[in-house]
Amino acid sequence: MTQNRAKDNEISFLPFGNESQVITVGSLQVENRLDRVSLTGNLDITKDKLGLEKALELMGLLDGVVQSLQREDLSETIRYEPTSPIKNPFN
Amino acid sequence: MVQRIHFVIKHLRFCKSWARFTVVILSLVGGLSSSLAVDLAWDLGGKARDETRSACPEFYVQGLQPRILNPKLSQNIRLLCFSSFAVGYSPVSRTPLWSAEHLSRESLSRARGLKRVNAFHEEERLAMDERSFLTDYARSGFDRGHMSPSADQPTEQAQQDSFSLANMVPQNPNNNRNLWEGIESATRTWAKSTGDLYIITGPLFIGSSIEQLHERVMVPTHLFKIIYDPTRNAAAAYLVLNKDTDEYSVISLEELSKISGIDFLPMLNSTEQHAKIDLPSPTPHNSRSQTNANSGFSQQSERKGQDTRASTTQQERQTSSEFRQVEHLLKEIARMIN
Repeated sequence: MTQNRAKDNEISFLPFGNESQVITVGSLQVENRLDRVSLTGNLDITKDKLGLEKALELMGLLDGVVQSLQREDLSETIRYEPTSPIKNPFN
Repeated sequence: MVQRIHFVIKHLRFCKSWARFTVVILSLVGGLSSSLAVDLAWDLGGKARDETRSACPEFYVQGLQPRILNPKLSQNIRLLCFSSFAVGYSPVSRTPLWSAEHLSRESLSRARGLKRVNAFHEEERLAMDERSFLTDYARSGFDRGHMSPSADQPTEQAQQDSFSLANMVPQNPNNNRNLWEGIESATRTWAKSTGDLYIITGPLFIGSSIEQLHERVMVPTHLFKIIYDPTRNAAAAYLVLNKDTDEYSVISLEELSKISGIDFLPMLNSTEQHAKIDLPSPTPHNSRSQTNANSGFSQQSERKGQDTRASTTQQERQTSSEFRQVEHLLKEIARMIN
């Protein structure tokens, strides 16, 4: 069932697979990055058919995230690539 | 302190007079509902006041795009029209310098329940060496912060447009998702209530040294959001540090133009630029604080008679913080003169 929900997305969400995909579930945004999947906003899962639909969609997305993480050889924590300073070109 | 700033700014203007001569090349590139206009603008010597009409005038007050006072900001600037907003993009910072929109009650009512799948994308109308890439932001720890927010967009095309990297800056994630989201939400609520507001949002790069992502995309030190109310012909701007903070300031357009080097609302005279309207407190979307009188965010600038609940200690801390910020800006301005 959850797999069916995932397939219902116009594009299949590839966790950690790109820096572009954003899927909105209710007012919750699921944003794909190479080093993370960010969930921002909020979501009411109401006790009705719409609530079930949203819950299944979110479950499908998170299932994909978990499966992707379980396939990887994970480090303890990710590391950011550091920024580097330059002389302000606008001064 | 403010008088000292004014003195320094006057001195700065006296020392550096410049003129702007703009050549506009319009190239219209097909698209279902978005058109492209690339303006090439550059500065020559001399003195002139140039209030150029935008190629997409509907997003600007009286159709006038911002007037760049600091010629270093106008280097190769690209003016891009999108379906529902307009961007002034700098290939130097590889970020927008501003993103302008016209919000109405009607456009915001259409903004609900749009497309569920979107994609951040590179701006293909910009040359490869000018645009920012998705990989620039990867593994940086920064959010791709929308300048014109996706939630403001009235159509699916406009919403997709808003995910262009030409509308993004590297933004502190907690800032983006809390204080800044609250500012965006408060702005929408106000626009729905008044029915008509012009908004210009953008980054500031203040200081002698600026951080870059992958030695390519400059990380803003501050973010601003200007709100112009046409019924009063008056404006003000939120100003926040690009950090994990709950503090914000509300400043006049005069102050913003001094800090930024851009006159964002060139149709306003100096008295109107000096005036500062009250802006609503940030209201994070659907959060508990939306129903409380106190949003949990604190305004740094003094608002006479309105902060009676703030403790003396908090006021002292805010004053001290404001003082440090003003002092920092003064030093930067002084350095620019030298």
